[in-house]
Amino acid sequence: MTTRFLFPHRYKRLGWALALVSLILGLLEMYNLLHLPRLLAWLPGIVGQPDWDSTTGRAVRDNHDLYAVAFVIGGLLAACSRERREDEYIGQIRLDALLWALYAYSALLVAAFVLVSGDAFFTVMTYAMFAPLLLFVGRFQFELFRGTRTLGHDE
Amino acid sequence: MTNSLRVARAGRRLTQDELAQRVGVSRQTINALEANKYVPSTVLALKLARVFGQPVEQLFALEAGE
Repeated sequence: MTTRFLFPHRYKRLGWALALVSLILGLLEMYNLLHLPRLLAWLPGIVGQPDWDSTTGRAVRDNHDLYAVAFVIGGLLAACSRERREDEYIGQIRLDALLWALYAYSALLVAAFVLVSGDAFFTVMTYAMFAPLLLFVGRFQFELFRGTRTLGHDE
Repeated sequence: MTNSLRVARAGRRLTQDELAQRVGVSRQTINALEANKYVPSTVLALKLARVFGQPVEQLFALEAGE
């Protein structure tokens, strides 16, 4: 029996597109390689202050919030949309990938606590916000690919 | 748990894809079952037994120690 908590298969491609575009744009902005016009500047911060724009001297929301939201939505759609033929075995692979991602994430987090200190830890925290989703999607797709590869021509 | 799915399927001259369609799963699932990488649910085991017209115990068997 498969779970009810999956999106229809048609959202999978949309999810991949959204996740990849936002990931690339987010990384480019994070490393100051690209700065697009602030699309969420109009959105006030409910808790705390948005980012400070030194050129205008006003508080405005930076694009990284938009990229983060788009990545989370896209990643969820990519990871949690039904496969073309979703069945109990695919469900088992999905569940195993989720557990694997939890263990891998915890191990990486422990390593970061031990190895990284000071300002560099802020960068670790930024990546850590998205790592569980990335690890889960990566593992799930890898296992699906491995399963497909072993199919061969056995009839 | 072991199974004689591959033998039963060959006896019926069914491809993995045809068998998968008959029981409503992916071909990958049939492949994993035949390679003993996956133990099916009771529902799937019963569906497979129905396709081959055999009792479930004839298709699937517990290994020593299980």
